[in-house]
Amino acid sequence: MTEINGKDGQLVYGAFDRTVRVEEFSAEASADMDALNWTLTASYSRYPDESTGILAEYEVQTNEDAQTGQVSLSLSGRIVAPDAATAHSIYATLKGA
Amino acid sequence: MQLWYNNVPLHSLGTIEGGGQHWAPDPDATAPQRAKVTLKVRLHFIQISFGANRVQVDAARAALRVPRAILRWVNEATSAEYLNREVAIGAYDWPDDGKGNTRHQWIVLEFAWHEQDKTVPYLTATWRRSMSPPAVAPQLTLGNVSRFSEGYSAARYSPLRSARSGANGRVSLAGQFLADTTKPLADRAAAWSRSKSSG
Repeated sequence: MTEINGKDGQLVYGAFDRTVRVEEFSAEASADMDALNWTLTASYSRYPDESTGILAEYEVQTNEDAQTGQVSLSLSGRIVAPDAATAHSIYATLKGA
Repeated sequence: MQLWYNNVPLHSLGTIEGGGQHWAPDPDATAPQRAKVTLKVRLHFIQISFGANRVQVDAARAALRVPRAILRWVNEATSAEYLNREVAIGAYDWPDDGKGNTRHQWIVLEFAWHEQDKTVPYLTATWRRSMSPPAVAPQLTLGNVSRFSEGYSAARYSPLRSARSGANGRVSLAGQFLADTTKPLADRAAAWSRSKSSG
């Protein structure tokens, strides 16, 4: 249990060899203690590649106040990047556009 | 045939007949490496009356009240020892054949245990927890893997477009760490407690 309790780890089974995140692990000793039965469920990202992938979802809205004629532009959304610097760079690009 | 259960010589209480054994591999075993074994014997009592037989049967039943003990099976003709291990006593019968034969009574006994071969080759899995370098976690072997399944799921920006916002994989495994069943239950329980306390 100590080794399972972590952010992620490398799971190898035959040709399967990946870094995965354990979602659930359980172990149960049989009544006559002749076997310890366990189950493990883990997940991982297939796309995008977590080390290089960038995801940007955004929405641009234009609002005009009918009385004052003031026009405002709002930008909202979500940026997923490998690190904060890359995320800020993407944000700056979006804002500039 | 001489049979001791919990150090009680059953063969001195009556006459032992049989010794039929049955091996039933566990249904989910990936190899015939784990089987429940049963040994069936009849213990005949031939005394002058039902009461005298009853005394012998009760003596046998008293010995069988211990649900798990060492069973020793020796061929007295050759002195070969066929069995000397901890077993569990299963259901047993005292049949009545309805013939009124009170001078001949018998009980049918069943002993059970697990046999498993830990050396049989099977596919295992390994796990190594991620740590911040330069620390490296130990690689754990997850024993015998009996089931492996893999899944895929994807999310799309629009149900009308192919572009994916992400795709995930999911794996499920089930397996077993097999104990040494030649060791008594108390030893296996102690080993299990040690592994729990060490995490």
